[in-house]
Order: sequence, then structure tokens, then C-alpha cells
Amino acid sequence: MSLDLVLALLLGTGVAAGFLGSLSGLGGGVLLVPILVVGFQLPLVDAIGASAVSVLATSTTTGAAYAGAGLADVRIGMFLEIATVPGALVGVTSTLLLAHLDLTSALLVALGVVLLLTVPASLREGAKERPLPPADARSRRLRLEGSVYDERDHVRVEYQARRTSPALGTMFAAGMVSGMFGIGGGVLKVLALERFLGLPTKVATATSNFMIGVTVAASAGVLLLAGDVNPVVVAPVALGTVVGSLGGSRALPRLDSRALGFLFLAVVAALGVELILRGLGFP
Amino acid sequence: MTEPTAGAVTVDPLRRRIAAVLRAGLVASAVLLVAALLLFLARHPDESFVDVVQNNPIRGYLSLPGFASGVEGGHSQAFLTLAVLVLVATPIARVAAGAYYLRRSGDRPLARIAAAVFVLLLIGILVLGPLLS
Repeated sequence: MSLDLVLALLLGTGVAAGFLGSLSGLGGGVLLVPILVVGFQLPLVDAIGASAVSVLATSTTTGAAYAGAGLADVRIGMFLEIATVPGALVGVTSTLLLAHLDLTSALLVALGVVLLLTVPASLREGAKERPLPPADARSRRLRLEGSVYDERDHVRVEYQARRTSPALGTMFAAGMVSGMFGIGGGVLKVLALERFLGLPTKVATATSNFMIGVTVAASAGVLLLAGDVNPVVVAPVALGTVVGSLGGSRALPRLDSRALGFLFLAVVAALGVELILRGLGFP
Repeated sequence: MTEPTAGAVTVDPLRRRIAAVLRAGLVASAVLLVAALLLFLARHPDESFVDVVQNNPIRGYLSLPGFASGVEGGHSQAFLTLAVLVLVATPIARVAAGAYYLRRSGDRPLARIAAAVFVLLLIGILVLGPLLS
């Protein structure tokens, strides 16, 4: 197969992953790594590098839009990056060390398990209404507060971050998963922003997207300087993912996103099983 | 918790400036990436996908002297390296811009946190990357 044709297929893969990832809210990275490994026979670390840069490009696009529109809470996002960045550095270091020790099969199994765990986590209902604890001292000192206009109820909703310590711990874990596998880790980030900080769902989702770019920049930068980012592979995948995710977010109001979301999750689960079997040495 | 307001959305200068940094980096890296990839394909018509995967074309351009001589010589691989570097550097520049604007607006505690994230990113990438290659 000619290089031009493979690059066109990579572009199409990026568009599809970005589109479906945007509809499901999981992002395209969850699909990219397994497809690049299974479909394009790319070495796992190269696939992680390509996915990390693609996730970075998508997050930068959406992050700029959310910050410009005032939806992402830039101050809370920047505060939490003090946990996601070290997490990502630990994650990417673990991946490269395991690869150097020729333990990529363990990485494949771990990624497969992460993919399978992502499915129930993304199906969970939104955070139940429950009384929130008062904002902790750190939140008050740093003024981690804001407001967002609720278009449905036509009111301005004010919020203040509540429990910052468990949020920081969860963000470190999110960064580590992101750094290890070149994915955004948005499921964990939204969970921490909603459940521990008590942010409204819309702000939590936008802030998570805004933060993903910096988290992934840490791991993508390490992978780039380690020589594990191949730009000939990255270029079509990243451009495709950005186009696909923009298309997905525009098509969202017109499509049955629930049905497509389920389709996406079914594909994620199937790829998770495939990676586990590969890692365990099944043909 | 809630109060009725008019629907106007006001965006503070910090968010506007950060969004501008992200957009500028994204446009610059996208233009560079597409141009460098087309140049690479034009100059390497016989290259196969397996060759590209086995011999990452930017490996020789990751050191400062290699990169500088590649740009000077007009090598497409050096421009591919530059494109990915700009893309990766965009969120890092956003953190630096955030630290600067927070400090200028008098929000010193958060500016210090943003500055710490910036230093962590730089040290982490510049030390761990070459170490783990």
C-alpha cells in the first residue's frame, strides 16, 4: 500500500475517532491508540505518541473556544494543573520504562483494562443533587469561584470549589492515566470537578477540556524528545481528529448522540478486549 | 446560589488572552504541519509506511545542532519537527501567559502556582525526554 493511501486512511481514522469521541464525550484518544496498534500495526509507544499529540491538538482547539466563551474556569483549571502535570510525567515515564524493559504486553493489558473501565464510568448518571460541604480554606484563599449563565433556566449560577484535596489527588491519577496511554483522561477529570469541587456540569466539562491540553503537553513533550512522536503519522491523525471533533460538536444537537455514544462505547469495549488478548499472547 | 441576571456573557481579559495564545499556536502549527508534510511527501515519493514507522524521520533533528542545520538546509523533516514542537509548546505558552497575566492582575498566589506548573513542564520535558530516549 502506498504511503499516500495509508496517510489518507489515517486522516479518515482521525476524523471518525474525533467525531465519535466528541459525541460520546470521551474524546478521540480512547479509540486512536487501539486502532493504530490493531489496524495499522504501529508499535504501542508510537501509537501513544500520535494519540497524545492528537488529543493535545483537539484540546487546544476546544480549550480556546471554551476559554474565549467564558465557559471554562481558567483559574480553577490552572490551579489543578499542579497535580495533572506531575501525574502525566510519572505516567509517561512508566510507559517508556516498561517499553525499554520489553514489557509492552503488560502495557497492552493495562490499556485494555482502562478502556473497559471507561465504559461504565462514562455511562454513570450525572452527579446526584446532594448537599455540598462548605468550601475549604485553600479554595477560599485562592478564590476558586465563578459563575456561569444557565441558558435553560435563564439564571446565573454561582459556584465555589469545595474539597480541593481529593480533587488534587484524583487529578494526579487522571494525569497519570493520560501520560501512560496518550489519552485525555477526561472521565476522571470531570468526576473530580463535579463530585469534589461541586462545579456545574457545563463548567466541569469545559474546564476538563481546557486542562487536557497542558496535561498531554507534558507527556507529548517527553515522547517527542525521546524520539517517539512520528510527525508523518501524527499530522494526518491530529488534523483528522480536530476536524472530526469539531464536526461532532456541531452535529451533536441534530443527531441521536445517545445511540452513537453507545456504538462508540461498544467499539471501545471490543478494542479493550482485543488489547488484553494481544497482551496475554493470544493471536 | 443562583440569581436571575440578564443573559449577557462577559469574558474577563485573562480568558480572552489565553484563548488568543491557544488560537495563535494552533493556527501556526497546523499551517506548518500541513506544509512540512506535503514537502516531505514531494521529496520522498518512494518512501513506504513501514520505512516511515521504522525510521522516524525526525530522529536526526531532535538535537539543537541537527535541527538548526536541517532548517538551514531546508529539510522537510526539520520543519515537521518544528511543527510538532510549536503544537506541544502552545499549551505550555498558555501556562506562561496565564502566570504573567495573573501576576499583573495582582493574583500572586495563583500566579505562583501557574509559574510552578510552567517550570515543572519545562524541567520534566527537557530532562525526561532525552533521558528516556
